[in-house]
Amino acid sequence: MTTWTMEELEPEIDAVRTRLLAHQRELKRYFVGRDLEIDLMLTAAAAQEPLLFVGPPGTAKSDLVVKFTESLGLTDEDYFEYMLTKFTEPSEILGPIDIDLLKQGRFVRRTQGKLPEARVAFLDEIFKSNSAILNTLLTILNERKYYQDGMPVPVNLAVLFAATNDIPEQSELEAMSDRFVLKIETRPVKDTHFTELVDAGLRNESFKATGRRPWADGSASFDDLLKMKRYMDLTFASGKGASADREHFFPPAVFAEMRRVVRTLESEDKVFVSDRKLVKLYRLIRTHAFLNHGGAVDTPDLMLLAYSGNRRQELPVVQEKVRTLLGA
Amino acid sequence: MTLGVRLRGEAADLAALQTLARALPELVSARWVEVSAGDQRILASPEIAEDAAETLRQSGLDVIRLTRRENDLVLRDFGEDDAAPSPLPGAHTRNAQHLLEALRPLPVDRPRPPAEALFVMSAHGDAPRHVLERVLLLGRDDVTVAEWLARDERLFVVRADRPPHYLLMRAHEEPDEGVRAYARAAPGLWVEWGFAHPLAAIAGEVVRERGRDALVDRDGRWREIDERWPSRSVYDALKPELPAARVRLTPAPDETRFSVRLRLAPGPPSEPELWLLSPEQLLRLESLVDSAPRDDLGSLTLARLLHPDDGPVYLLRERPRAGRRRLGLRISELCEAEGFSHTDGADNLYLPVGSRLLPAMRRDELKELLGLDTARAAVLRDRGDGPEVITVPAVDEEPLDRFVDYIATDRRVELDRLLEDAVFHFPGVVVNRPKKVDAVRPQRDAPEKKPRRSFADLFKRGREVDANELEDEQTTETEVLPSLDEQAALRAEARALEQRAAEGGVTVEKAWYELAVLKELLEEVDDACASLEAALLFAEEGRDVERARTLASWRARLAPHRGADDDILQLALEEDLTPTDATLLGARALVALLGGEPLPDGVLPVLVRTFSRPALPVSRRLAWLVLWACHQTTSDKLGLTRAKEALIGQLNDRGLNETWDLPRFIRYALALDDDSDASGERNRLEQLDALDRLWELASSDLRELEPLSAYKRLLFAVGYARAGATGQARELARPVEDELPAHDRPNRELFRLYLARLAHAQSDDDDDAFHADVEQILVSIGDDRARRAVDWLRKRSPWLRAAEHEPPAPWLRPQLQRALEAAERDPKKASATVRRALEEREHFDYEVAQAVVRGVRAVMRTGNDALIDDVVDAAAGGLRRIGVLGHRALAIGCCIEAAAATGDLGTVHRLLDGIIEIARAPRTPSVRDLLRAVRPALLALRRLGAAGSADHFLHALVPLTESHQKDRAPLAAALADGFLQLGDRGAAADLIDRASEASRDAQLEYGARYDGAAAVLDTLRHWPTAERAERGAELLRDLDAFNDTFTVRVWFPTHKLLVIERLVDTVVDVITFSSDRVRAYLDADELALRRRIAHDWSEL
Repeated sequence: MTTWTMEELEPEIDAVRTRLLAHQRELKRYFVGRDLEIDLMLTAAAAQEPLLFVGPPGTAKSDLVVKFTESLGLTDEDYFEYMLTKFTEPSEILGPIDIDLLKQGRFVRRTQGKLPEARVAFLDEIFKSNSAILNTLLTILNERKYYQDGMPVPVNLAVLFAATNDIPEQSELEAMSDRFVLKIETRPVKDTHFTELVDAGLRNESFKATGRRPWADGSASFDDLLKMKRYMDLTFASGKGASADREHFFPPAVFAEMRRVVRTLESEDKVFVSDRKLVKLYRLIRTHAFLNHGGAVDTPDLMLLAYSGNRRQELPVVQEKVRTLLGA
Repeated sequence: MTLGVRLRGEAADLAALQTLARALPELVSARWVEVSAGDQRILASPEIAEDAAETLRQSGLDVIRLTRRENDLVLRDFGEDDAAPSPLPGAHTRNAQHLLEALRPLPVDRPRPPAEALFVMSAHGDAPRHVLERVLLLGRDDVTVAEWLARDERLFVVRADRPPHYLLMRAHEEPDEGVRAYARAAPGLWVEWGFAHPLAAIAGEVVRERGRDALVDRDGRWREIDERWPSRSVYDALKPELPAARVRLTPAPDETRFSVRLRLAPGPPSEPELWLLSPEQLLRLESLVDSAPRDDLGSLTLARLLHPDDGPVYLLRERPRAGRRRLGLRISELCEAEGFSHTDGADNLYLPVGSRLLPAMRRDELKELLGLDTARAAVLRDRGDGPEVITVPAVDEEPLDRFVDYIATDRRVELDRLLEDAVFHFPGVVVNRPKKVDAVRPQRDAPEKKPRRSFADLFKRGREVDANELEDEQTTETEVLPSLDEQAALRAEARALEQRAAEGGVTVEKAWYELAVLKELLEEVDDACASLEAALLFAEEGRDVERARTLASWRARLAPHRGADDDILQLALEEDLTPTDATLLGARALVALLGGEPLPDGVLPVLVRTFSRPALPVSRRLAWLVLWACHQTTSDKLGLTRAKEALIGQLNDRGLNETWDLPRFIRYALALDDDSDASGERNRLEQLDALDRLWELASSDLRELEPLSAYKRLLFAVGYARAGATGQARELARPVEDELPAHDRPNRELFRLYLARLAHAQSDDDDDAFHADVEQILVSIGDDRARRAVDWLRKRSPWLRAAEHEPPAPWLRPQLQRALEAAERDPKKASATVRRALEEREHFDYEVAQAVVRGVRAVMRTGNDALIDDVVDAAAGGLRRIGVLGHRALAIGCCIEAAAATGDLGTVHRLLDGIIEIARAPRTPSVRDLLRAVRPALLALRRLGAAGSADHFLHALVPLTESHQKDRAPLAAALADGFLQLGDRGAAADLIDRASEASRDAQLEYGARYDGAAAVLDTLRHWPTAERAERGAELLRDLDAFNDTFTVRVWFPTHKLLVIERLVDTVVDVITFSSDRVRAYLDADELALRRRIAHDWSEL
């Protein structure tokens, strides 16, 4: 149920927030050196914005998503994972055409176990997919729907994670890249956390061998994420006037700081921030602030801007620049 | 009461003010007051008179009258004095020195970051710290700072090119933080960023005229500063603090050393090359000696040593040769002995095959621990109860085949004994000599056995040897050879004579004859024949037919396929005579001619024709002997003159031939002081020692991933490989191979080229194979920029570039070309052609020089002194007509050669003066051009035997090394070369030192410095190895002097690399030094031959 009212949510939203933060802390115990990734995953999931992991193989991208999903109490039916190639066909993502119905002249997909039915999805090597897949995914990401027999059908998908080794610069992929407001580089941690990595790796292997999944007993549920999203949506809509949310939750000095950072990134580092992306960034920062300290946005919350780079080589530059500008 | 103008806060205000400035320009510099009240802004000036106000009003300006009533200001429209005044409650006033200052900047929508900005703040408070921290965090340490004193405050200013947008916005949006950012609006005018002054350009001009800069803030306030204000680095404004406890570490008094036990461990497979054999194991070599070709055995050396516990030990070593198969594995198997191979990183350390030393140690540590040096080898072996280090002293290792005598009968016992005792003494043994294979040769009855005499003793007594006696001895089937001791004594005697002959110009008949007999005794028949020919040539009292007969008999032994019945005519008529047949023919002809034997009809002309042929593969000595004998028998003076001219023409054209005119023993005596193997080894050790010393110097500042360090490694690796230390070469190159991917593209490809050069140096391939590899690597470089950089170095590097082609002959006008071709066909025309070329004014200088050169060469080939003199006379008189000094130098050099060929020392001296005149001319030619004349001149003087003149000539040129600022190093090096050839090592050393110093002179342009170093290194090739290394080290120490500014320097320092490459090439060059001595011998020998020809000709 995603039609909770403000009256229903307000009494329990603090508890939801507390559960999600506890959940976040618990999940971090199963990973080494991945605190940042987990923070971003929770924020992105709470805001229902897709998150892109950029990094080489073997940097726990898939493991993060799988454990994150399992920790929220979701089952295999709620989770869809696929590695895309240029030969991947839409039926592999959306489901095969129902032959019986096709004989009757209807073009309907059997979506069970596929992306439209899943609530969390992980698409590996997303930029290697072909244009047919990209168009389908853009529709799903933009409008949360796909087409069955020419009719739009809503998808269940709430949270999308994707991964790539590189971000190509072809123009046809820019639209998809822009949908991922947040992008984070995942780097190997063996140099900084050698011992912990070996210990944690062995422990995870043992969990796998014995079929145990202690992270699945997370403090929060998927519903908590949905409630947080719903609460934020209702909050954005509350108040009088278009600037109500900003005046209430975004102090002018912090807002001015956000504007300065964005303009600096645009003018000095040529980071393109589209209008759509700016709004989404605002929503993400607000969600992050509320999730983490339950109040108005503070300057440290603007650190989310550090993950707003577009191109592969921009990511570390932007991250460093934002840290510097914000004095973090 | 003040009159003023009301502004409306619109763009029209600007037009109004421009109208004001145009109508009443004097008001621009008047004092003004800006009055602002609410949204009203008024500019008033006490200097506006009533009539001026009227003028302004008529110009359309909104003129008002401003008065003060009680505490408030009121205004009234000008000209409407009756109207009620309007109060201006809460009005603010601001005084301005002129109209421009009274104007308030207007805000700009979305201002862009300017090219340059000033951040101005109070020097007190936190603002400067915050700004500086942020600027430095953003990596902008290029900003500069300054401090200004305002009336009552100290201002801190940060000036930034491309100012950080964030800081600009922050200053603009957060004025409370006390930082104001100003952008340059016009020269001299800085306006707060985010605002624009309406009259910025005019305002800028006004303040500039006053020599000031003005800062205008958003409120219109002006601050003026000097146009030039001092600024300083941002770091000068920082006072870094680190609140941390201080701990100072001091060097510990003693070094801690840790004992590490070295051990042998399995290593990569390798071929055995050294064995320590017991006497029993040594004898197992017999089957190898039996079956292996003698050439293969030549790669094995043997020495007898004494082990303190095990007694005699034989050190057997294989010295692999290119193209020869390795015998190592077979020897290990045969002798059942452990083989050793040298280890990487220490060429003199031998480890058991397939093992290595752990842990790996530095080369110098290993040397110290095991007492390794270039003269001593160490063998490390595992004896079961622990490792044993065997130090092998520098002993004379003799080639194995020296211990082997091939005997017809199985005399195993004697051979064994010989092998046992071989090194320390050579007992005399009687062995059976196999019969000569000369089946055709008439067998004489065995004469009565004569006791063996020492020929050395005979000669000491001054007794001549009977040639028949000699022949008898050659044909003895069983003979008593001199004992080994006696042989050694004979050899020493021969060596002394060889050395004397090798010093050049030996014209003493007796010396040659002694040498001939000794050589024959030592079974070196070819050398004996060469010596006997020389003895015949230099015969003082007529040429002896018996000696000619001896020569013929020795030559016949070298041509066993020729029967004694092969007559002279048959031999003479053969086409394409082989060297053996040609020399045999010459010897037999001499016997016949000197002995007065009747020759078949027609033989004489055939002999003359045959021995006049320049390509006949005999020495010019023998050729002259035969020609002289032919004409002497018929007293044909004209014929002898023709023969003389033919021979001299050949000498003029190409000089003596190293293959036919240089006796083999002379070549060895020149190149080697001892026997070949030992000398070769000594050369190698000297080179390695020199390379070691240079590498120690070059490797003092090696750094990982630094291109120059990698190049140094590769260049020295090639040097080591060429000196035979392949292990060291591999060790040097390995780090470069490891770090190859980390280097930039051009360097990576060049490293591959040098690695290819290294591989070819190790495998001793020919240059064609290497250049094929180079082409392949070049083709694989896709990036044009990288390929250009690679080509840049490749074209300059002697190791990487392909062989240079001869430049094509210069183009000449058809008429001159035809005349010269005619002169070349008929040398009699040469003189006229040269004279005409010199007289006709339309020819270019290079054409005249070419005419002289070709004309002289044409007559030189004739050997006709008169013709040569004619051409030289024709040329020498008109050489001044050649204005371009470089071309004149070429022509003079050629004429000197010709004059020297005819022995005309007077003309030579006159021409030498011409060179000195050129060198001292105010418009001096380049040193390269000058050397085109100096080198042939030196050569000519040496051939003439005019060492004194040459010395004088060189000394006359020495002062030029001071005047030629740019080229003094190459010139000094060339002159040093000349002095060295004349044997004046003192003067040569002085000049080469001066050249070396000049090449490092910082005053010179870098190209000249490199040219100087290259010339020094080329010259050093003619010096002994140790001196090459010593002087090369000086260049290496000052390597930084060989810098350059080429574009490719972002990747590699061209000149430094080329200097190192030439240095290494010079140190490992063994050819030049030897060939110098060979050349000097041939020059001296040619002079002696010319004199002898002239003598014989004049005698007839």
